[in-house]
Amino acid sequence: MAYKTKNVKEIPNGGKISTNIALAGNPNTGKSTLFNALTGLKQKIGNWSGVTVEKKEGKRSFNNFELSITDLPGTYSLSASSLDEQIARDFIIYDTPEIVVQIVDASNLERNLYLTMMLRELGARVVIALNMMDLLEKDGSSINVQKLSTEIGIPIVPMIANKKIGIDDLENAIESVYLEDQKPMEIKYSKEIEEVLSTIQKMLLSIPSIPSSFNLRWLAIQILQNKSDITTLLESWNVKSKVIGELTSFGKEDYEAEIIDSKYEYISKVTSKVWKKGETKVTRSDLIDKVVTHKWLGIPIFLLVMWGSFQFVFAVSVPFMELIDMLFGWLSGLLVDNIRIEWLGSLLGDGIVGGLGAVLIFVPPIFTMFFILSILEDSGYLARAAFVMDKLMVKLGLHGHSFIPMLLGFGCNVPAIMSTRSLKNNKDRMITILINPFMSCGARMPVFILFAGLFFGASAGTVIFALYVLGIVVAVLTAILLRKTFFKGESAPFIMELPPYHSPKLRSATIAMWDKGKMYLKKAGTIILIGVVFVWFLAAMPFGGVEYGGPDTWLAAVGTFFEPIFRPLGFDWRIVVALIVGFVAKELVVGSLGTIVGGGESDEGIKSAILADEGFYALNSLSLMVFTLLYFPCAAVVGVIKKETGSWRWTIFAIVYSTVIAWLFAFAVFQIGSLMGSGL
Amino acid sequence: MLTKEVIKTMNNEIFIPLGFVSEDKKVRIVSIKGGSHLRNRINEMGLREGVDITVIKNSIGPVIIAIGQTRFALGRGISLKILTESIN
Repeated sequence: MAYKTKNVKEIPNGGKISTNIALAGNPNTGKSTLFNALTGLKQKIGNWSGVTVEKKEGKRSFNNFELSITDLPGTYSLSASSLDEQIARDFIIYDTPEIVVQIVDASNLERNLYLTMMLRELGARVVIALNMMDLLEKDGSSINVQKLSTEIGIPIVPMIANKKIGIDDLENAIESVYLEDQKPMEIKYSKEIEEVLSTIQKMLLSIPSIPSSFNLRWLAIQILQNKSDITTLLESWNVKSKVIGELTSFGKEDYEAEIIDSKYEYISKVTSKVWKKGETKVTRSDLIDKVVTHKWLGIPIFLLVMWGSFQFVFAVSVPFMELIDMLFGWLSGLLVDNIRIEWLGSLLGDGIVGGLGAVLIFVPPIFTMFFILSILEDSGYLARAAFVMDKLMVKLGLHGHSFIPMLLGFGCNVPAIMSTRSLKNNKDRMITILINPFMSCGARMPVFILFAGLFFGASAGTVIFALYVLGIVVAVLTAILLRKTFFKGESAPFIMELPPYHSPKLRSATIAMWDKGKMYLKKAGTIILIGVVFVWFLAAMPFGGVEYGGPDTWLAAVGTFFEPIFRPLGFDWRIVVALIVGFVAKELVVGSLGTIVGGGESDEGIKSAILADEGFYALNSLSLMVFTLLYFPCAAVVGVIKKETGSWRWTIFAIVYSTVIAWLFAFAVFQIGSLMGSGL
Repeated sequence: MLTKEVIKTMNNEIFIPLGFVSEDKKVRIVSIKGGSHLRNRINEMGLREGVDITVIKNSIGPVIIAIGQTRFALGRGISLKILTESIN
């Protein structure tokens, strides 16, 4: 682990040098901009091992270098106080990238250099990309880049990443560090700390179970800071009590505050020589903030932005949806009519193409939703939305930060739940994860659009809006309930950096839309495809003589078995089947209804089939929508809840709780509606 | 209102909780109260004793402060734990 010092390398004759580097930096320093500028579309999104945190990797070639670049989560420190920090730190320790490029915000030098110190202390070889040089002049500050570089012994490349200025120089710096090596750097701490450090270090050296490749000084520094995961590591080497005993013999258990201070002192000493601080001026962003976060205007502006976003999503996607619908309808009909083997034609036409078409039609709104969310995030507005909602969230026992995952949940609950990793307090994080499935994701939209459109005519929009609100209300009540029962205690203090407003970049929004939308397409190609084929199979079995999707099929048998539970909600066996299949993915509720009711070839076909069917009417379609909104989160969300909470108990809680709540609400809707005889 | 009184007495004692500093005022952080874990995390974000900050917005909800070109939103609770003195 940690870094072995490298000797000067030689470039193999004419050969390529393949090497891996990591991109680190504080949040809001333009890290993704630089990553996109370096790798373009050659990106791959995966997960960090063990956790479902998004991991971005890309490639860049220059001269005879072939770089594999890993984008680390944006962090202020590597002290592993949040999942993000832990991931960044562990990557540097265990995956040993050759070089770490740290992107530094030139206008906030001191705080950014704090991370540099941590990287260097860990033993990483660092190149600094000093970004946003163009903003320096604005507040009258200046940096003597050359001198700073000499002082800290690290190459520094001035850059303006969003204009792609400085990329060539960065390549050269990476090349020279790779070839010429970097001197190790040690921060000197106070005499007392150094004494403790050397004692601990000596003791660590004498313990054979510690791998020899470990950077012992770094390890000793972590021990002095009493890091819980380091303690776990010591435990695994059977040296915990020995080390802790040694530490307490110095009469102190925790030197963290002093260690942080020493680093900052060193930084101040350096920056005082090279950095002319500017005046804090009121910027245009501040003026916008005074309006956007205003005590009366804040929430109306937020609602307006949300409303505008939804309008945009629908306006843009409707033409594409019609196109896809036409295409699949045509294809499905073609297959059924022209394939002579009847069951095969039915499988391909009714089953696969019909079912997939019912799902793929929602690609346009989902892609547009991701596009808008990315624009909101890039522009800086998402952070303000969290700010505006903080007051309300505090009443729920949470704070503004938890609002961002809720908002992202409107797109898809999977990335939304992943985004809770930046929350530092575990109780806050658990509550935020557990309420997220109630935020109505894009996959539930198909059900709403279909039924609200069919039975509520002009007020369809209002009905859908009310469903979203119901989801939020249930989430809010659940949060209060959880805070008062299982997760008692104060929420973590709310501290959030507000990035300056940017005009969002079309390119990065498109990349984000494609990256996240791809997951949906992949889902359609795998789990949903299997789901529709399975439904088709049950709907066609037993072979011979039964009417496809009719009351004599296996599908009907399953549905009829569970029907009694759902009769009070107004559902017959067909709806029950669709809901069960919806466990896999909620899009399948529409897809499988299409298969069962018939006319699954196209959206229009499903609509006329449902309208002609006596088993569907306004009141039970309303309770169906309510049930779909609230019940069992889809398989992917269950998986991500398990991974992120690390607990089967809470995963099962999420499943049972949501389904019981769904049943109760749908029951109330159906029974009250029936009693009122509202003519629905 | 009660808060006005608090500002006054706090003013006399020089240290003013950040949550009571009025907008556009420049102050210096003198002390951060609260547990060591919280203090360390805040320190790592660049909010430390001796650092000068400008209050951009302070009315309802979180306080917005500026350190150089960086802007932070701080919840009410934490903003009362950061003690400041005015500088001119």
